[in-house]
Amino acid sequence: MKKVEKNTEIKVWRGEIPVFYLYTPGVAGEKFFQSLKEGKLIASKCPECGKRYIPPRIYCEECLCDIEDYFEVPNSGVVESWSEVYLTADENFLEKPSLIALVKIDGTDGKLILNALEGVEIGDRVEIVFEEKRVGGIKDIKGVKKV
Amino acid sequence: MKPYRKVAVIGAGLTKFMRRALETGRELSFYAAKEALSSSGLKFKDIQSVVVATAPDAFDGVHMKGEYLADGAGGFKRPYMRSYVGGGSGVFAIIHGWYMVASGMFDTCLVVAEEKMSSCQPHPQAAFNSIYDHTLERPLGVNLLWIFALEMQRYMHVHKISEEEIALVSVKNKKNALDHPSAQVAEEVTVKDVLNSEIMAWPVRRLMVSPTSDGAAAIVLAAEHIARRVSEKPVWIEGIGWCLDTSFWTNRDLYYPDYVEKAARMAYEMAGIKEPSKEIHIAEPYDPFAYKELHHMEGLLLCKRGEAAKLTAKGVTQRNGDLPVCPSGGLLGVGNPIAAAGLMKVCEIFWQLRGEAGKRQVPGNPKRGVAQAWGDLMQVGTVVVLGI
Amino acid sequence: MKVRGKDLKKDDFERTIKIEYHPKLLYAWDAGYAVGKFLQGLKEGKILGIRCRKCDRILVPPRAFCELCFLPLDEWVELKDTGRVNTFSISYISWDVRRLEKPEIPAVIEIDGASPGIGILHLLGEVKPEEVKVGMKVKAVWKKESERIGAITDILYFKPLKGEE
Repeated sequence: MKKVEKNTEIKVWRGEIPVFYLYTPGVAGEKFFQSLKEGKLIASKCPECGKRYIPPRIYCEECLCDIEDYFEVPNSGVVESWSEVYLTADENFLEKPSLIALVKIDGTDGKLILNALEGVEIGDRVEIVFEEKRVGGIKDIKGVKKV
Repeated sequence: MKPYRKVAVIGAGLTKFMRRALETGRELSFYAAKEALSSSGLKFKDIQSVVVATAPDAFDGVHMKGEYLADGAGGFKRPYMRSYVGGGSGVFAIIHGWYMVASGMFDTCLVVAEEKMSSCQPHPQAAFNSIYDHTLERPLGVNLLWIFALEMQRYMHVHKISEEEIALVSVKNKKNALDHPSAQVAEEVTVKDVLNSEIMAWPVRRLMVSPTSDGAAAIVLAAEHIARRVSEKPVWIEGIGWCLDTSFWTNRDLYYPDYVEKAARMAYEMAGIKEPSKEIHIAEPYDPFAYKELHHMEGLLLCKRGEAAKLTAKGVTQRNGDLPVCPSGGLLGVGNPIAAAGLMKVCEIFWQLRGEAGKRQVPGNPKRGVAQAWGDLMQVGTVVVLGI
Repeated sequence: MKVRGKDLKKDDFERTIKIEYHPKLLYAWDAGYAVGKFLQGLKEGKILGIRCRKCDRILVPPRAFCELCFLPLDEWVELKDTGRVNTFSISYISWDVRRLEKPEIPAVIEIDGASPGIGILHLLGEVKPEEVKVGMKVKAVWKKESERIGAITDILYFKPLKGEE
């Protein structure tokens, strides 16, 4: 039997968890992405409390009831907040800082985080600009610009 | 034992168990939560607390999964807790919910269990590998199936049980599941079909394994004064127990689930049960693999060690037998969305004791049932005894 | 009882709009006091165990504290590199559910010198699947000294020890 010795040689074992994900958008999400592909925004409304969700949902979180009412909303909204981003997720500098905005969408009680195509201030009215080529995903929205 | 309030299950709900659901995890949680709430006699505003059980974040691929699911599960602006012990979560959740109500802190609790495994690629099984020790086990190229195969082999070796005896469990459960509305893999198979199915990791064959699934389950718990007011037949939580064994699983003899026995003893003592094999009328032990039903029956003290296979062969565990086991069809027949699977078993006991299990109904007015879930590295046993 | 859910068949799943996400999950795990020394032992061609003074168990894989007595451990023991098969399996499926042509044989091997029932997970080799038995005596097959890095894979596999039953 040996007494304790310092083991300074084997320190670290490296490895990874090699999985990736394919997320389905869900019943409501599929409708939302379909509408984005067509260059439109849709929301859904709770029959009990009237709360209007964007992105749309099939249930109301306040009433826990089914939502089946989907409707189109204008491609516009108001900036509630914005930021200028310099770093990537793993803390490297972006080539060019990006501008993002939190936009309350007209006709809904919800907000989306979108690219700001130009500098914006809180309270600015903006319109949603769609990409030319769309596939049915959140990136079909190019960003927002001031009205 | 200190005095505590009586707690009852007054509502239950399930989604379909599916290989790949269109719905997101939140939508699945909502379906189950809504169904449980509708069947309980309470309104959503009456729910005072929420418990969500969901197993590794790695399946859904959403970090802090419990919080993410919360709004679909009714956790919006309410005291909420996540419950997590791997596969044992389904029954751990009801234990957690019991605490919320028995403590007097809340009068009602909505308990939801959800899993969406299909998002994980290339196959949900790959996410399980992180269960093994990262330095001493993963470099060997481990595989989830190994650990079950190693345990099954040991169980068969110690008790001299044959593959045919184990195959009988698959046959029974897959047939029982034909009567379950949520069932994913119900079918009529014979012992020969099971023994001819492809070898995955010997002695485990394909028809002895439960599938990966997406699904959710939910129940509503209420304190006695509310349960008696709104429910015609509240099902009482009579005993709870849970126990965790060491994660040094290669230092244990895998033939007997000691931790399940300890959890069961804790639950039986609380319920005042002295002879489980006589006083329990229905059992829903966790059956992710066919041999596991037998393994857990012994751990739950429903029979002597090594005897479970003989009871199965004699037909004692059929729905019309003396001790029906997995009348729902279990995980082998209904599906295995990890956390939701355990709660599905609790739902089954709930419906059976109330005489509401339809074609699956066990005859003879069962009064007491036990549901058990299991999880982690062959580690945790969670047990609940329900009675009417 | 209403049971809801939309089940997608494989083709439907492929056709549905999906979002793909590849997380970069890389880890550098500290070996720790006990496993660090264990790996050092493997590099030197030895299997090390550790003894608890209270319950007298000799444990492998070694750990910094006894989980039954809840006491720190520091009495290292050099174990043999032979043992007995406690349980085994013959696996035809890889970790990502692909079919393997040649099966792998994982086993729990009780190491000689450790307390009874105390084993490690490893693979068996140089043996036909149908010849593996519980209770079989096996010996470690090591990598060449120059190739050992201090990892569980410094042992390639365990092979049957002939002539000793």
